[in-house]
Amino acid sequence: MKEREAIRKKVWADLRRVARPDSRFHWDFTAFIPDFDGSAQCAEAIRAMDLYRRARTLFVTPDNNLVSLRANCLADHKTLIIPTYGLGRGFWQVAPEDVPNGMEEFAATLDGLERYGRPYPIESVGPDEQPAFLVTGASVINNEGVRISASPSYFDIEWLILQAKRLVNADTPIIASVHDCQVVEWPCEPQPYGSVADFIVTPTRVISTSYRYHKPDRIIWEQLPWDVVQEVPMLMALYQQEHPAN
Amino acid sequence: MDRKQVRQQVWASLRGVARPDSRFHFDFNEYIPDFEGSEAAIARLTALDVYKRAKALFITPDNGLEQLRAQAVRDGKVQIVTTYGIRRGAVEIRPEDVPAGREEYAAMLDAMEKVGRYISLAELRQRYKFDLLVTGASAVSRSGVRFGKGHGFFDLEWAMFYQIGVADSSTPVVAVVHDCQVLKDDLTPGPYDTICDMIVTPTQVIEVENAQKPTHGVVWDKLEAGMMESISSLRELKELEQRGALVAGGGR
Repeated sequence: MKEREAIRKKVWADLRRVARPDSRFHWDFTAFIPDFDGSAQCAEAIRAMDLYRRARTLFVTPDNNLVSLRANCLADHKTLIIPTYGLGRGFWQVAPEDVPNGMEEFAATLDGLERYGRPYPIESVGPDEQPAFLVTGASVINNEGVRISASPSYFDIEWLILQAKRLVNADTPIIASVHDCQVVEWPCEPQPYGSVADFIVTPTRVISTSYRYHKPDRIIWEQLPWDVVQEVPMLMALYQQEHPAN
Repeated sequence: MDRKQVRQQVWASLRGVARPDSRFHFDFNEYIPDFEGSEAAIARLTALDVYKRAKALFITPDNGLEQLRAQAVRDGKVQIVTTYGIRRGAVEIRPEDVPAGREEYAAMLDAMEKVGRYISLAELRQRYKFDLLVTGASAVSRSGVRFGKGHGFFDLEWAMFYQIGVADSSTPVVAVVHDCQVLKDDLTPGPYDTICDMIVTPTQVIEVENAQKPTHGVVWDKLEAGMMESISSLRELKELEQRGALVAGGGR
């Protein structure tokens, strides 16, 4: 655990030189995943992938480095599912038809999501509204696709919720989009609740991690810290559904 | 009731009309929210002479002022907006920096630093004299005594602007709030309170007679712990002060 923290600190020091501050959290990387020089190249690399071209709906985390990708998606007439920051208000969606021409970049920011988004009806999702694949940022990721993040990270929780609602399964691809300095060659097993990226996209390369690990297909509540369950309303609701006696 | 209790009481009413923040949701400890009817409040404000005549405005980064920031761009006015928590100082947004149709975008905290440019206190002093200062508030009394999230950012901004000469006792200060944020009971002003000359809500404009402003600049030993480290503008001000650069009285 100590080594984990040391690696995160070292990467953050490197990241600081290429990152952009958050409008609210300044340079506090414990509170957000920053945008960085080259994030638009990552978005273009994802745009060139077959799975992107085929997708109608994507799940994209609210990380700042994914603004360009979200703007591309809206311009390319794809619907976005975006968790609200810290899952404070569940999942939201932005449909391309809700965004006027030229406003894609605006709608792609978190402030713009407030203007153009609406709640994603997770209990009644149509077949076209399921995410074809998921894109997340990361603080640090190893070259095998294991994110070295807080335990569990919000993306881990999001995956657990999506799989519980049968909106994703082990075949649903996960792309991690990061700066080159966030990729480390440090072998480590994923956490039991951790989902592993199938592709890592940086401004300079695309790494295929070849499904080496599976993604969680159920929630093992004993493995999740209880304070995390209490903090995330959607997770708490799932717990209560599975434990009606409580 | 002390200010803390008043704040809690107002926040309970505000929750029913507030719009969430993209990061802080409904946690009013962290931000001053936009609210239902802010469009009407901004329309009232922009119809006032004090706004129409203004060329250079200071606007706080409160969410309820998004529409004002967009409208100021459309009206050809220059605005200075501080970054959230003054962490990265102030941003200058000139109408010519904003392409037509992008006014609303430029008005958002997530975009304003991409559209505008950072401006130091020294440059502010050299180039500006504000015609109007506009702020949000957690609550404000009919006598113009306001309070915010509890850190005194606006009073600090006033002190800095007064000290570098871009605002003086005659510079009007307007608070834009929801009607539920206007207090029935009066508040006794403290020595650091910047009294508002006007309170604008969706339904009314309240004028305050003889609104007093502090004239002592930043009182260094009264700063909240950590502010000197986290707010570079304060460090710049201290340096200007020590160099004697503020003696001649600034502002254009």
